[in-house]
Amino acid sequence: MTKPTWRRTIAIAMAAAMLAFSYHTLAFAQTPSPRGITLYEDVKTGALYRKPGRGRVAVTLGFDEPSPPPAAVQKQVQDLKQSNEELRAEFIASQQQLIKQNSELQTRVDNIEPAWRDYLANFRDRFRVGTLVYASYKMYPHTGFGPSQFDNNQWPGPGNNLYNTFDIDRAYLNFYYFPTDGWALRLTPDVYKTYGTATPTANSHNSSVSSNLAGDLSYRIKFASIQYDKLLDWAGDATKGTTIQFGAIPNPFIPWEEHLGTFRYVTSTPWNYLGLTSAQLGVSISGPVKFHERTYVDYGFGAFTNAKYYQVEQTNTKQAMARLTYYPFGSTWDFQGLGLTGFYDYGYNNTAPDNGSLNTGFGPNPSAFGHVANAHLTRWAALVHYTAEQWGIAAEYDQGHNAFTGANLFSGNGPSVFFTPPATASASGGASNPYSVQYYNFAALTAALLGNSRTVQQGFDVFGHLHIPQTPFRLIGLFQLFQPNTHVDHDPLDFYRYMVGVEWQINEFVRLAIDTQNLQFYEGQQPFSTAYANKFGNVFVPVPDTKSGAPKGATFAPPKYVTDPVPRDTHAIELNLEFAF
Amino acid sequence: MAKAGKFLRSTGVIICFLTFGCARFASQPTGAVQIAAQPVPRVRDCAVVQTGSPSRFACNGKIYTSFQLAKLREDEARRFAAGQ
Repeated sequence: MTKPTWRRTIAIAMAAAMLAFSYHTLAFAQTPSPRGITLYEDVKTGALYRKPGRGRVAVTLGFDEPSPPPAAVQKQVQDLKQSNEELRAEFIASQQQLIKQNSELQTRVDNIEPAWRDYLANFRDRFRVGTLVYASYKMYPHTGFGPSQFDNNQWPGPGNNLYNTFDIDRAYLNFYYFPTDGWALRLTPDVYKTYGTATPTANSHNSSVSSNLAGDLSYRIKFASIQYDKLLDWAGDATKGTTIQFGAIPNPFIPWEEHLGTFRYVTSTPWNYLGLTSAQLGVSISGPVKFHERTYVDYGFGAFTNAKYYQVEQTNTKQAMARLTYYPFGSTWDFQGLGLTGFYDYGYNNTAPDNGSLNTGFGPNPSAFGHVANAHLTRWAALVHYTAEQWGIAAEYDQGHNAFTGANLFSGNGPSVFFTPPATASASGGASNPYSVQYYNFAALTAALLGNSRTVQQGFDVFGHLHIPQTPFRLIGLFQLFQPNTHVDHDPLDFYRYMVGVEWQINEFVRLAIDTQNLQFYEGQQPFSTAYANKFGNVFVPVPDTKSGAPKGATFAPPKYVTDPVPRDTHAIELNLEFAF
Repeated sequence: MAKAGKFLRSTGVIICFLTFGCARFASQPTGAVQIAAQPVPRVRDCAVVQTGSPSRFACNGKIYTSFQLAKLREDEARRFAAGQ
């Protein structure tokens, strides 16, 4: 071993001894307190040493073992703890309440619907819209004068055989609104074809433009009413469904009979054909009387304008109508079973009061009919009817007073000279003989027989339907015999009409019928005495002859007889379509 | 004797025919009662009660609207198409 090696060995041994000692010393100095470090302070210099030594005192740095706090401090601590617990409890309670509120709010937010959706739902439940359209194809093998089947049903007069047309006979839009329980508002516009004289209109001093009004579609209100259908619900089940209506409303008879007959889209009911419209403005009450779920009485009555629904009321009077139907064995649904029905109508022609005192007439005698505008009119009907699901039949007797005028007879079409007599057919006369004008004598005869205020009408009707089993087809038919004035012997205007057809129920909304409709004036064609006609209306009077060179006081004498006074028949073959939604 | 037998046979056949008629050929079921499902009312078999918006029909003593009858028909068609 060399000297350096020896020294290195000693140095290593000393270092190891020092490390071993310092390790033990360090461990000794730092172990006394689990919460701090004990050092040794030189009391003279204040220096701190890790090791004890002379003049050094042990100093423990760090947390001393806590001495027991005083009672007041303990109480404060206790209070603080209690306060903390209370705050904690309050915080937790608030937190829970907040969570709950958030949950409820979320639920409400989830349930919130857009306003438009709520509006639509409300609208849907309270609003209904529909339509009713009658369309047809009509071909007339024979054309003649006569009443119309529909408001828009006009055809050309005699001499226009094989006239044919496609028609929209009716086009309703039905709007119903049910604002609250029991109340309903109905609005039904009717689109129809217009008739009237279309004349050119001047659009400058030197120019004019042609009218474009011929045959235009126009618009009018058929029904516009408000109704309440719980009028007598308080009285019990017997009168439940009693309804009061106000506005442009169905009258108590015509719509009822249209439903009884079931084929209004094909032809009109008897009194409707004769001129009583299905709607007027007014107020009415209708309802059933029931016992044990069966209807024994069904009625309707009301006060209405004398004007039709599309006319302007001119009178200072009103008309009253009432219908009562009695089902002796009770009816389980509308019309079911045997029914007996009576109808009465009392009213006036639609004439302004100051026209009532005016004499009226026709042609050369403007006062032939006297104060006919003041005259009242009545209509009544008695029906016996039986309705089952597969068939139905009704027989009707009608009587009226002043209820059928020449205007009613010629509502389909009539002689031009009836609506506008020739200028020479006047009290002042003219240069030509009016009695030689085609159809003038017939027109004057019609005016005489129907224009006075003492006419009495009478009619007999039968109509019904029969379902052909296992098919979608039904046989339908109507026969109406009518005497416009029973005071006239062999009245050339007496007529009957009949309709026979087959109906195809295509589906729930569409029906199609092929049918023939015929109007026949059944009296024999024999000359009609003008002297006899003058007893009803003095219209066949001499007319002054004013032509140049005529002797003073010369007149055109009326004929003694009206030849061929019975109008020609009208026959039609029709396809009628109904769409109801 | 042969004539008498033929007469008796003929008489018996005639009596049987007059007594039972065509009952043998009737299609009505015998024995167990057949229970048919209530058929869906078809508008063509119903009475027209009112034409309007909507129209009403009487079927088997009950009143239906045109919409109700249409729905019944369409539902029936769907069931038929589904093979039910």
